[in-house]
Amino acid sequence: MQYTITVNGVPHSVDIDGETPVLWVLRDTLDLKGTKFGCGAAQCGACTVHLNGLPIRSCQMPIAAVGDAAITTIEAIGQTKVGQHVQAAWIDLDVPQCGYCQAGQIMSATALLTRVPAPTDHDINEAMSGNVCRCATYTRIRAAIKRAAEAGRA
Amino acid sequence: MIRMRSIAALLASVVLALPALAQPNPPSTARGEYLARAADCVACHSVPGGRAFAGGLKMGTPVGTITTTNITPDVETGIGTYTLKDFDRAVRDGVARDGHRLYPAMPYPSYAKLTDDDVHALYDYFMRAVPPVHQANIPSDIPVYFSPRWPLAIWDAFFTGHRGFTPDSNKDAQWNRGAYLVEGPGHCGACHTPRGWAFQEKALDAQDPRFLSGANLDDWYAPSLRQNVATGLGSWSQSDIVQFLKTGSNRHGSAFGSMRDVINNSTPYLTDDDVNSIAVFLKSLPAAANETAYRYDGAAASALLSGEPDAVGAATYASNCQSCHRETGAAAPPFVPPLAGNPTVVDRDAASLINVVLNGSSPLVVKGRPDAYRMPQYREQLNNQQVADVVTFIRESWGNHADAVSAKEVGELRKRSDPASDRVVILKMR
Amino acid sequence: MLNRRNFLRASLAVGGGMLLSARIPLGAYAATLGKASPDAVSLNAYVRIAPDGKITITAKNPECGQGIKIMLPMLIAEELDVAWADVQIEQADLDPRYPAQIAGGSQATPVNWLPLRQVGAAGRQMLIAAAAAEWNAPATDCTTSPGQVLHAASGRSLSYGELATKAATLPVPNLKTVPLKDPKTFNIIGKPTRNIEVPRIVTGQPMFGIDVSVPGMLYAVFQKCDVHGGKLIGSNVAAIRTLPGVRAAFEVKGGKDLHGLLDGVAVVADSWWQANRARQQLEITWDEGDIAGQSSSDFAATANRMAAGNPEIILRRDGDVNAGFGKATHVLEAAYHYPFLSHIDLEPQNCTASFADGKVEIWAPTQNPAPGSKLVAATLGIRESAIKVHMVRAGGGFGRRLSNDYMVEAAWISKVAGAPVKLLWTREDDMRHDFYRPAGYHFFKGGLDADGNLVALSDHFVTFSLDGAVANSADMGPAEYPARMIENLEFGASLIPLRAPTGPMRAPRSNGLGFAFQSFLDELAHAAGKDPVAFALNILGKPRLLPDPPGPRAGPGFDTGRMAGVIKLVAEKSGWGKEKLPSGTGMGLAYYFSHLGYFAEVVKATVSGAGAITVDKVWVAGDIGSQIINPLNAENQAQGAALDGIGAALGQAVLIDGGKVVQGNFDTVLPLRMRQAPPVEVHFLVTDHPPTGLGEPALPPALPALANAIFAATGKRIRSLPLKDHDLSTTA
Ligand code: FES
Ligand code: FES
Repeated sequence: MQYTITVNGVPHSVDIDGETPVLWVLRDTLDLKGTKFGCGAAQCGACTVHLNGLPIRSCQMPIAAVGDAAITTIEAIGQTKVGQHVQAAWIDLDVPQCGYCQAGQIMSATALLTRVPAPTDHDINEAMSGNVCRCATYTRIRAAIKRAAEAGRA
Repeated sequence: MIRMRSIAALLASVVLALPALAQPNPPSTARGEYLARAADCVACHSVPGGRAFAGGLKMGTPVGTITTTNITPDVETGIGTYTLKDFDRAVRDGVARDGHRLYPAMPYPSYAKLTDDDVHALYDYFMRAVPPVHQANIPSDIPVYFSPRWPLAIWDAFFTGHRGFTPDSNKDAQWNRGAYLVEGPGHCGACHTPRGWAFQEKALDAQDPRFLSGANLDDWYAPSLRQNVATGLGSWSQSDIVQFLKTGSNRHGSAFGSMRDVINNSTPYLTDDDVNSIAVFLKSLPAAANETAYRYDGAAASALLSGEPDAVGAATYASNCQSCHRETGAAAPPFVPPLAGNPTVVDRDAASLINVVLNGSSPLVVKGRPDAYRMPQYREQLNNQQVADVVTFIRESWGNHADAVSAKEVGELRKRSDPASDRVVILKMR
Repeated sequence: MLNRRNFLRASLAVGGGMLLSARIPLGAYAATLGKASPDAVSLNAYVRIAPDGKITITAKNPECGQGIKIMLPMLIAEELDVAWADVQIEQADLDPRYPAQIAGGSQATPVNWLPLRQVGAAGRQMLIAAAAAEWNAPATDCTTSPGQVLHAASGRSLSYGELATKAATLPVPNLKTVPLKDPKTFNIIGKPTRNIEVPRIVTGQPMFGIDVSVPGMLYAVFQKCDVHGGKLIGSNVAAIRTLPGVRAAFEVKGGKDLHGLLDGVAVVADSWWQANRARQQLEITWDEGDIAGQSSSDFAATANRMAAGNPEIILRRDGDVNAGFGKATHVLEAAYHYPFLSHIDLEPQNCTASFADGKVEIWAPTQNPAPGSKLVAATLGIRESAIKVHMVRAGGGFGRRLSNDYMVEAAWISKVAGAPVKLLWTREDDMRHDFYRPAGYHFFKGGLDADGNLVALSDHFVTFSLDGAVANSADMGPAEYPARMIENLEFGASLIPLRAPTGPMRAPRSNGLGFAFQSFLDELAHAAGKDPVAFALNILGKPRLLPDPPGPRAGPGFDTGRMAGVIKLVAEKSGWGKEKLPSGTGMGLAYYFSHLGYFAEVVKATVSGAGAITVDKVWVAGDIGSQIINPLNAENQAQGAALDGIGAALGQAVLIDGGKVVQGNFDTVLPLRMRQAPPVEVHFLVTDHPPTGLGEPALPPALPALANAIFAATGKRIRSLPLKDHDLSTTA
């Protein structure tokens, strides 16, 4: 089947089985390797992207269900103000260890801060608990979200 | 000791492939195979990973555990010495060759409606096309005071319908074919019709409004297949039903729980004509309850989007469910089932919903191909209160109107459905 | 020019500038470990100083999140005296000139601490010599400031870039005598230094193994038998070849080595999704072999049966333990258990391989490439010189990637398929084909005298064997704490034969032994009516170095004073015993020495009436010597290690049933999540000892500290993990 999806503002036409998860279309068809595969079961968040600004697990989103919704990935999240703040805070606080989960963490954090500009610890727990960091950089992720929130207020 | 064992990679299910036929068999074995599919014999008469029709599946009943029998034509352990008459008595009357009565876990009250020709075709298939498997039957552990099976004769006298299927001359051939498949070989009522005090199905045919009106069996709620607009098939078109039976899912929902075995082994193998007939028949069953049709309500989605939903359970939904089922509950059918307006979600009985949250769904395999998307289990990740809250949230959001679920209900179902517990679920009608 | 003693070589770099390469015997490392000098072991370093002043340092070790890629270059850059901003780091390939390209054992710091600084210092001296020659001034009058040589008297300066080409022609100094900086003057070492890869990570640049792409590449999956080492009998592979996108599907006959190529069916397709979908339709007949007794429940029953008898092996015997128990006024017995664990690296195992014309090029996220290359050579029947291995950043390691099974699979599949392939495992593959942290059973007995002193201790350790030998990482040494400090002590072991492969996992052995011993010691402290801190300090006694018993893992010994030091520090920082805690809240202490690091940790946890555990806070105190090389990364690693332990303790176990691993994904093996992650406060005790690593030693105390906190909170003693399997509720 032919599907046209808009990724980071650019429409792409792909000829692919409709059941294919967006994750694999991004990684293997469109060569956007920033979005990661960790579990394939909506349990780790490594594959988080935005669909019309909301975080989704792209491993569980069939391409057939995307329609004309806009997909944003880690490669373009820096084009938003919030995304910039988040990336800067991540660099500043030296958040990553292996770094594998961090694209997904940043996508979830950006979605959270877009919705809730000054999140409480509880907000952070709820919004970020779908994103596993096996290296357990949680202390810094939390601090970086708060740092980015401050930057947003400045 | 060398153990050899055949597994279908990644499928924890039974060996699905029916035996490859070594040499062409006369037409009746092909027809028999088709009927065996329609009747889903393999689902009960096999164990996961075991040989087809060799039996061994444990089934709990209110009085104890029975184990399904070997129905391959093995002479010593199977039905190799059965005559057609013996076979017929077992299938349609529930009486084994040695004269003992079969427990009604075997849906012979439904099979009683099979035509003579179909019984014969089944017999030919089992005797000539199914490879014999030497595997001894396991005796039941029904306590001795229940064990003499003579009371079952009385049970039969009370609860079994008349033998044979009488077509309704007011209806066309398609309807009648559908009725035959549903009431007879398909034995849909075994799960979807409520059972009475003696574990009997309360109705066995379309005449009775209790027929296929929904029932809870082994902690899965098999929803009403009548035309109830909210909790039944009222909002499903004929082609929705066909798609569901052929592929296991459609725009309204996906098969899970006990229905999985029906999809994995049975209905996708039926002809388009037969599946259409079933749909026509089901669409003719009047609603058993007066319900208002489902209407989407955007409040829950807006609350989830605002990030400050009031409802308890919304937070659990947001962090565990929303990324697949979405803030609108509309998900991505037929791949990921919607929660908004899904009859299983809004039924009075929340067992299926609780069960699938706790235990996830096992693979749905359509003609050898497993599903691409599947519900993970949350038994380990959410406590009873969290499950109760999230299930309640789902049952009350997006225009769904169903009662709240308590942590106690969840706790009980959690215990009963614990994969580590050795308790066998009641009459697992796989 | 070559200096025979220390093998430092300076040469002109391509395009101008100086290339420094060093080959240094690892005497310093040996000294740190307390071993005789193994001169055969040596280490190489490459530094290039370009005419524009940019410094390129080769990072020789695999990077899997431990921060090594910047830590080692920091050592060189410090002594060379350059600005960190001018340093570029290049990842080395697997290269026989680097003998220790491995990420494991927290060894990188002790191994590299002195030699790499010497390399930098030698480079600095040569640059000074070049400037001195230029100015005709004595070298002793010249100094450096980052990136340049200064002549204070004349006010002249020359940049390293300007000097490099000349410096390359000068004699190299003796590494052993080259003067090193006074640590007080360090500009880079000891300063929080950001990981230069983070900007690429946060923008999603391709950099991990899974991101590798080579021209003409196809995607592969590989289905093995879930009973480890099962043999392939037949499959419907022919039918799989007809499925959409499939380019090749074939059966693979492997060997017996569970670390090598095993039997299975490979599916190669145009996309990974198609390959994996096709693979889901495989029907394979396996010969699973003998799986009798290969279930977690059988193991438990066997362990209990073995515990009733005498240990098969005596590991250590001091004094007379039975006499000790006889004299004790209080004898305590307890059985402890910890489960098998999977490493669950977030990036599932993968490898890209391209086989052509008898040669193979490999891109592997591995912690240990050298044995992988050997394995590929042996399996494919080619020479190692025909193999090129690129080390690619790994999304987590934790010991899993010390084995290279995925590497040989990718190489084999590429060869048979006749195309470059990227092999990628699913999460389920990863969890079911791991080298598991071995489970263990400990049957303890402890005797206390009337004053609450621990006078006798025995442990019957029931562990596992594979093919007749103790399974990998399932052993216990004779120096296990508190051996050497207890008068009457006996450690024995018995072995259950296992079929599943086991292997090292972050802080191998210690991660399980620490839980069992430190929990039982806490139990003894309470039985003795003593505060756990006082009880611990009492066992440790006065500060002294206890030498290790001779043996393959003999190290520099155990310093009771250093251990006591971190216990006191963590007690102070956590406010141990100061605060009256609300009911349902408790604090637990545990301490452990592993990988040359001394760590003590306190966990504060609250258990609700419904039995829900909240880990409120973790305090970590560590002694890893005189210098924290990069405090920014050190804190991250220590926090990560402690939380790794907390996560494993709360929700992780791998169960075996019928020879197969039951769990397959994160819905059953629960990784720690944000909502469970407490703040972790890290403190280092700086002591006058050589710096050592910390990727591992901060982990072991976390698990028992949490279990002990739960006891303090609820009075319920946790004798098995994970905690999710315990009902801690007090209300119905
Ligand atoms: S890969 Fe999608 S959630 Fe893990
Ligand atoms: S940084 Fe390694 S998984 Fe998060």
